[in-house]
Amino acid sequence: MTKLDELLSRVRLDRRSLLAGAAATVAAGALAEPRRARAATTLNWMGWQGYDSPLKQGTFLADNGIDLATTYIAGNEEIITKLQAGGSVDLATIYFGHVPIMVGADLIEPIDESLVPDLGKIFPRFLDVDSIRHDGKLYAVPFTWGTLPMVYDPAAIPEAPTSWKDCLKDEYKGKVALTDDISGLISTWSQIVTGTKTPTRLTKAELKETVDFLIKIKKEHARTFSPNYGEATDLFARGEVVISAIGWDAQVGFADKKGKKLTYVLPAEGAMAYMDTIVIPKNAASRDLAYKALAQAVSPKAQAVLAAELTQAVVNSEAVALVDDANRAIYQYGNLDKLLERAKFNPFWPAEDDGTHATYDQVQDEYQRFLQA
Amino acid sequence: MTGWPRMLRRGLALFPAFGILTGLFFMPIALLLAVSFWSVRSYRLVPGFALDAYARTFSFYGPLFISTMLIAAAVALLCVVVGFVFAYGARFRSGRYGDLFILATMITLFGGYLVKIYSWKAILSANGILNSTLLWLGLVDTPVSWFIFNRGAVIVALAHFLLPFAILPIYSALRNVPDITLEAARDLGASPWTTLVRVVLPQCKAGLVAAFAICFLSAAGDYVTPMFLGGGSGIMLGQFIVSEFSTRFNWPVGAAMSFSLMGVSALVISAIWLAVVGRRG
Amino acid sequence: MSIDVLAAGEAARPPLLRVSGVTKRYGAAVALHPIDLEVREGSFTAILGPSGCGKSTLLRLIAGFAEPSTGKVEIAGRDVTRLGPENRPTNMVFQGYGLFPHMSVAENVGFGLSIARRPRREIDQRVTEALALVRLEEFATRRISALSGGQQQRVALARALIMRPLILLLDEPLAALDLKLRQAMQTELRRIHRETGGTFIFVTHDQSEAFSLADNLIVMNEGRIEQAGVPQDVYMRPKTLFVSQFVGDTNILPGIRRGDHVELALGARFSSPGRQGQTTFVLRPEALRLDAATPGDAGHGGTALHGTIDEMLLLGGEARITLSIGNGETLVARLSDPRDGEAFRTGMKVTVSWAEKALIEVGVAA
Repeated sequence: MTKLDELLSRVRLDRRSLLAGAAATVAAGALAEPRRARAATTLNWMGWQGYDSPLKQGTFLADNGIDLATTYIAGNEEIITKLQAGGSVDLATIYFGHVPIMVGADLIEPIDESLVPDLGKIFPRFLDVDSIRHDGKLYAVPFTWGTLPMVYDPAAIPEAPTSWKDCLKDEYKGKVALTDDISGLISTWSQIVTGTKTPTRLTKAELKETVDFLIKIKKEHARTFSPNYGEATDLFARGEVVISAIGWDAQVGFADKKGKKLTYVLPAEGAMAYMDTIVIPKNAASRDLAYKALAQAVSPKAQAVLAAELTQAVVNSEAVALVDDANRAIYQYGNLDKLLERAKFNPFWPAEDDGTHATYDQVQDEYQRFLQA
Repeated sequence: MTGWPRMLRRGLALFPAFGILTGLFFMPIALLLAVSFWSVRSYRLVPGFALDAYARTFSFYGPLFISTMLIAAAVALLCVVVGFVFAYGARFRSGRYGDLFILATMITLFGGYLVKIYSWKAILSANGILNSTLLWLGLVDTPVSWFIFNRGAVIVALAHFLLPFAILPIYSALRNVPDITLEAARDLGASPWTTLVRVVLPQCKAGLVAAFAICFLSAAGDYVTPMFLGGGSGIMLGQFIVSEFSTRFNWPVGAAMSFSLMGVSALVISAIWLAVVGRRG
Repeated sequence: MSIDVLAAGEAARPPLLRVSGVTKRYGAAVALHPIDLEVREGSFTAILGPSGCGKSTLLRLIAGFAEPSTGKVEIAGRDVTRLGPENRPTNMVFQGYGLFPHMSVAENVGFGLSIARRPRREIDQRVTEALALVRLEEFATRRISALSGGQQQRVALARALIMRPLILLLDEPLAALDLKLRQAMQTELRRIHRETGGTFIFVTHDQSEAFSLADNLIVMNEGRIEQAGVPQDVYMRPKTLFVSQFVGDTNILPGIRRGDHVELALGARFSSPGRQGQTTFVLRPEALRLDAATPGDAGHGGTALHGTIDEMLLLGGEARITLSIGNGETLVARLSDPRDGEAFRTGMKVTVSWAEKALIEVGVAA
C-alpha cells in the first residue's frame, strides 16, 4: 500500500469523524442524483462509506440485477433530512439512536421479518435494544456495533487501568489521546462528573459541568485534540500518547495493521456502546430488492467482509467463525453479555425540549464551546 | 430591422458562457445566501427571513472569527515575504534560469494537499525529523512537544502549501519591472536597499497584494490543516462551518458563517488594496 | 543650471575622461580589444558603430555598470575603475529611459537628490530648474505613462542632469523616436549641451545623428576603435575602408601601385608614390563631377573617365546617378543640386572626373 492509499483509506475508515472530504460529501450528497440504471434496476443506498462493501461481496449484485447507487454520508442526520425532503432511498444504514426519530416522523416501515432469513442468527443482545422497536414491531436490523472503551498502550502501561480517571494521573499529563466524538465524550464523562445513570438524559447544569470538565482534560491532560480515531491511533503508534480519555475498539485493529500493539479496557464507570442498523424507508421504490440487500448485508459472508475490510464487529453469530483471530479478540463475541454489561446502548439525546433535560441541539452547542476552548 | 436583431444574435451567442457561469457559480451561491436567512426545525429547512444565523456567527463564533482572520493574515504575510524573496531571486539573480525555478515551485503543487499536511506531521511530531535531529545533535534531551498541534504549526503548514500561489503573482509582477529602472536607480546613487524599497516594491505592489489576497482567502477558509495539525489551540472557523453543515445539519448557520467569512475577507483585502495600491491601481 | 566646471588655467591638466588599455571579455568572447580614449571637458562625443561593435559595452564601462577585464578608467584624474555607477561622477540617460512608472515627473527628476537626502527646498528648486531646462515645467505632476516618447526622453535627461554629472552618458538617446521628433530632440540636445556647458558622451548607430550632434567622433567596429577625431575630418579622411563605408556612401576603387603610379581597376592612372602592390582608394560620390562634354577632355588636373548613365534617382534634395565605366565597373555620383541632374538622361554617355585630392587611400581591402 502506498502512503497515499493508506491516507485515503484512513480517511474512508473513520466513521464518526469530521473527514477531510466531509463538506464535499455533503455537497455531492445533496446536489448529485444517484446515477441512472442501465439495464439493471437501481438500488439507492445511503450510509457511511465502506458500509456498502458487504453488498458487493460475492456475486450478489450481479445475480439480482442490481445497479447499486451509493450516497455516502458525513452525518446520520443527512439521511433524515434527505427522507424528509422526499428523496428516493431504498435502503440506509443509520445509528440506532436515530431510529425513534425516524419512526416518529413516519419515515421508515416496520421490518418484514420473514424476508430476513438470518434474523434468528443475530445475537439477541442487539435485537433487544429498545430504540429499534416501536409498538412491538422491529424497525431496524442490527448491522454492526462496537464500544468506546479506554484504549491504551500496554507497552507503556503494563497494568491495565481500571478507571477513566486513571488517564488524569500526573504521570500521563500531555500523553492522553482525546478524539472529536460528541456522544462518546459527553456520555462517558457525564457519568464520572455528575454520577448520572442515564448519560444521555442530562440537566443543563449537568451538561455544563461535564463540558467544563472536558475542557479541563483538553487543556491540561490531552496531547492534542484529534479530529478522528485514525489520527489518535497515529499518536499511539508514534508514542506521543499512551492512554485515552475516549477510545474506539476498532483502533486496536487499526493499530495492529500498522504493527503497533494496543489494547483496551472497559473501565469500572462503564462505557458507551454503539450500533448501526439498516432501515427501509417508507417510500422505497425497489422494496423487494431492498429486502434482498438487507438479507445479504447481515448474512455471514457479507458480515465477514465488514470485519476483514473495516475491522468492524459482526452481529451474525454464524459470521464469528469467518472472522480472523484479531477481530475475535477485540470484540469478544463469546463474552458479549459481560462486555455489554459495562458498555451500554444509551437512548439518543432528546430531540425536543422536555423542560428538564438538555436537547441534542443544546448538547451540540455545549460541545462546540468545548471545541473552541 | 437593424439594431436589435443583431444585438439579440450577439446575446444568444453569449448565452452558453453566461449560462455556465450563472449555473455553476452564481446560482449555488445565491441559494446559499437565501438559506443563510432560513431556519431549521427537526431536520427540515424552513424558509423565511431571520438574522439568527448571523447573530450566532458573530456572537458565539466571534472570538474564533477574529483568531481565524489573524491566522490567515499571518499566513498571507509569511507567504508574501518568503514568496517575494524567492521571486526576486528568480527574477534578478538567476539569469535565464528564473522561469525554470518558478516552474519547479509549480511542480511541488502536484504533491497535493493532504500529503503536505502529513509531511509536516512527519517533520514536527515527537519522533519526527526535527526532533530526531535535535536529539541527535544533543540540543534537547527529550522531544520538543510544542512544534505541532498548535497555531504555529497551522501557520507554517498553510504558508508552505500556499507559497507557490504567492510566488506566481509576485514573479509575474517582477517580470514587468524593467531592469533599467534598477540600473537607473543605482546610477542616481541608490543603494540596493533603497532601490528595493523605492523602485522595485512600488512597481510590484499590485502583485504583492494579489499574492496576499490569494493566500489570505485560501487560509481563512481552510479547515483540514487546523484539523490535523492545530490540536486544541490552532482551531479555525472553517472546521465549524463544516460541522454546522454536516454533523449539526444547521445549513443556515453554516451558510451565514460562510458568507460572513467571505464578506469580512473581502473587506480586509479591499482595505489593504486601497491602502497599498490606491485608487489609481 | 550649470555643470560644476573645473577652474580653468591649470596647464597640462589631464583630459576629463581617460580610458587606457581597457578590454572586456565574457568568457572566451572578446567584447573589447584594448581601448585607449581621451575625452576633453565640454565636448560632445559620439561613439558610432554598428550593433555589436562594443560601443554600449564601452559606455557601460565608463558608467561603472561593468568592470573592465584589464585597463583603467579615470575621470578628472581620479581612478574610478573599481567604482560602481552610484559612486561615479557620471549619470546616464538609458535607452528606453528607465523612468520610474510609479512616480510623477517631478519625483522622477528629484529621485537622485532625494536619496542623497538633500533638503526639500533645494530639491524642489533644482527640479524646477531641471524641468525648465528640458522645457517640461508644466508637466511636473504628470504621471510618466501620460507622456509622449519625446517628453519621456526629456524627463530622463532632466533626471540625469539634475545630478550635475561631470560626464553625461547617453545610450542611443534618440533611437526610440520617430524622424521628426528625432530632429527636434537633436536641436534640444545641442541647446542643452550649450546651456549646461557639460561633457556629453553618447552612443549611436546612426551616422547622421552622430554628425549632427557631436564635435568629437569615435568610430568603432568589432571591439576596436577604428578612428577618432573631428567628425568632418573623419568623413573627409577615413583611415579605413570600414570607416569610409560606415560614415556615408562611398565608391571603393581597388588598384595596383607600380613605381610612382597607381592604376585603378576602372582604368584611371595617376601619380601617387607609396607602398607597392595592391591597394584601395575610396571616393565620396559628391566628389564626382559629370560632364556631357566630349570625351578626351580631362582638363582640371584630375582624372577623367568615360561612362554611361545606368540609373538616375531623384531624391528630392539630391540626385544619385549610377554609372557604368566599362569592364563591369560602376561608380555612384551624387549631385547636391538636383537641378544639375536635369541635364542627364539614362543611357547618356558622360565624362566623369574628380580632383585627385578627393581620392583617399585606405590600404588593402580585407
